[in-house]
Amino acid sequence: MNFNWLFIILSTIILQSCGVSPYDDSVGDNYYEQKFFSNGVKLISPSIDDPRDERSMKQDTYKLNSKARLLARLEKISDRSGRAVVNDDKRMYFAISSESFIENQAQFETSIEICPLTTNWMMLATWNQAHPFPDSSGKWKKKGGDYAQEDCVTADLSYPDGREDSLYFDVSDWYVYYVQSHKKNYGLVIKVEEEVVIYGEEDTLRAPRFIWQAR
Amino acid sequence: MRKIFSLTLILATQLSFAAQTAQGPVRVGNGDDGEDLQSFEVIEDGAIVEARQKAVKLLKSFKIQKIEGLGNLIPEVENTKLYMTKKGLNPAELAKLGAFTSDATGLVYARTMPEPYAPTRFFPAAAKLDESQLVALHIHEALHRALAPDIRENEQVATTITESIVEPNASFDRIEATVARFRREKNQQVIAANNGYTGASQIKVPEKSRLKNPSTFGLEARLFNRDEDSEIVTGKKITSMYLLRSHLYPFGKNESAMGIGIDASVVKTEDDSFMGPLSVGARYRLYTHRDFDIEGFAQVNLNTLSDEELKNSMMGRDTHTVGITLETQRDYFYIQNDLFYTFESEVEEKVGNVDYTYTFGSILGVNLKAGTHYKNFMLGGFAEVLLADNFIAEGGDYNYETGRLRIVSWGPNIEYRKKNYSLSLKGRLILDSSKGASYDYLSDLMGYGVGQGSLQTQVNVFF
Repeated sequence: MNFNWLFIILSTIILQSCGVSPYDDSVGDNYYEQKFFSNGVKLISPSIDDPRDERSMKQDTYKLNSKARLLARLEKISDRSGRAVVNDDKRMYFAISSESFIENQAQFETSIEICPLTTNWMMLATWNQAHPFPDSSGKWKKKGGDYAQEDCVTADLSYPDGREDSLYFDVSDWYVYYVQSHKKNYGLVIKVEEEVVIYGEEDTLRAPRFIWQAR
Repeated sequence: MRKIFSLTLILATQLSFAAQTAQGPVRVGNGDDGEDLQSFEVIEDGAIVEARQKAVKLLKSFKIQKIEGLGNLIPEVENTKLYMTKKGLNPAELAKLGAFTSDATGLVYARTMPEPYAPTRFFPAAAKLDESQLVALHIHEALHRALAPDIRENEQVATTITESIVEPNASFDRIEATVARFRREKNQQVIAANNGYTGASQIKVPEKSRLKNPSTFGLEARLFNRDEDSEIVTGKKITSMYLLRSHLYPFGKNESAMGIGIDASVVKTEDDSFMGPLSVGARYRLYTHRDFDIEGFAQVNLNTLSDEELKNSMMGRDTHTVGITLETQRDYFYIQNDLFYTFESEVEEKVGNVDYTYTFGSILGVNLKAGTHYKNFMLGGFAEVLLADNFIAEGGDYNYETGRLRIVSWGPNIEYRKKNYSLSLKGRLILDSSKGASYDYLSDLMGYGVGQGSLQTQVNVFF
């Protein structure tokens, strides 16, 4: 009986010293992939004035071009990314999918840009306004969304084992700088000059999504 | 002239003093002990008759017949039969004739009965009065017959009104103000008596007061002045609203009635129409003092009957408001002040896959209504200041706060009102607001509407 108690106490001390608790779902350097679909997806276009226009949200697909951009945000990302590891080796990605990417991935590799938004917005955003409420912050400083051009990224074709209909964008710097450091999750804007149809949030497999490694 | 006026005032003061010491219903001036009087003879000429003509001329110069309560004064001065008392009556016999007494000197100038067209009897002491004093005496005596029955026997009232007529700076407005003051004081006395009341109510309620016919049934149409921003915020192209109003006061008496009102509405957009907010309210007269009515009210505007889409927008707010109304109606104008408080409340809206919560802060409001009425027409307007606490919109990682909002409004009001019905045209416009705020950010469709204001027409039946 005394031996059993001694064994239990020793085992507990050894496990604690290794950093393992009964509530951890990873052990040591084991990482697992976490994927979250962007729940805040909003199409803005000069042709859509009504902020509640059905064409601008909850769609299977969105047609993007120089006059139609897609705003995307993972709401409450700080709560969801508590286990995320983002460093030189482990990167955070933002993925979008399109039938067009299967045949013409190289074409869109550089033509599609993902840029950090710099003004907070809501789902009632339009081409002209970040939100409909009264004051100077209601309107975008520049129509079509306020974003940091210098922080825009293009597709990262080195993403391992990606889907053939998807492009992956390394948004690690955005996450570290805007979300973690400045606590500003204003999301991203998808810009493209030539026309492309991408899958929307109603497509449960190919919707715009964030992917990171967690442990 | 100043000396004459002083003498007249002395006479009026004496009349007043006599009033304070008298026990009978009518107390007039003094000048003789009456012991040498026997009977009366008609006065057909002389200083007293001439003074009467001057009194009539003076009253006509003020157009005194246009003052409410003095419409019969000129005929009473002009037509009363004048008698001079002859010797032979002792004070006891004199008292039997008019139930009045003299002042400390025991002198009597004249007397009359407080009834229309009663004669005026002068006493020998009146012969000692000069013309101005006789003019004042004629007017004073006539007032006892011409004033309303509830105040005509009050010597102080007759004396003060006489002073206001014969004083050197007399004017129509001053005389009218003096008469109006006594009417209000009389009303107040009745109301005060009613506070400790055991019998039927005697409150003097103005003819046009809402207290006369508190129950209302009406129809109202509102046309909204909205802009593109309004449509963006509310998500609705609301163009107009139609209300059916029924406010019934089944409890209490008219002047202290408690009413419950229901307002149902239909909202019209550019595309369709649907049931709008339902309002339930109660109103109760708390207190009346010095012609001011103080009422308390509570109102709940519910969106339970709104269509699903309206509920899922910013306009789906339920509001709960309490307040007090202070109101007075005078002969030519009315003023009403409302002080009210609307409690904080929330609306939830789902846009795409994100749930947003709009928190509308409490509203403190003051509303001043004022205007003038002439015959059956009322012309006025309102000014209103609304201070709304923080408006917050939040959902996901989005958060927006306005801080305190200020909305200053005004609007005209034209109303034609007969005893039991009224037609009115009203306007509501934003005069000034902070941060571009409009009525949309109060989200009270029933209370303020949407956009920048509205034009309202009402038809009401009172009963």
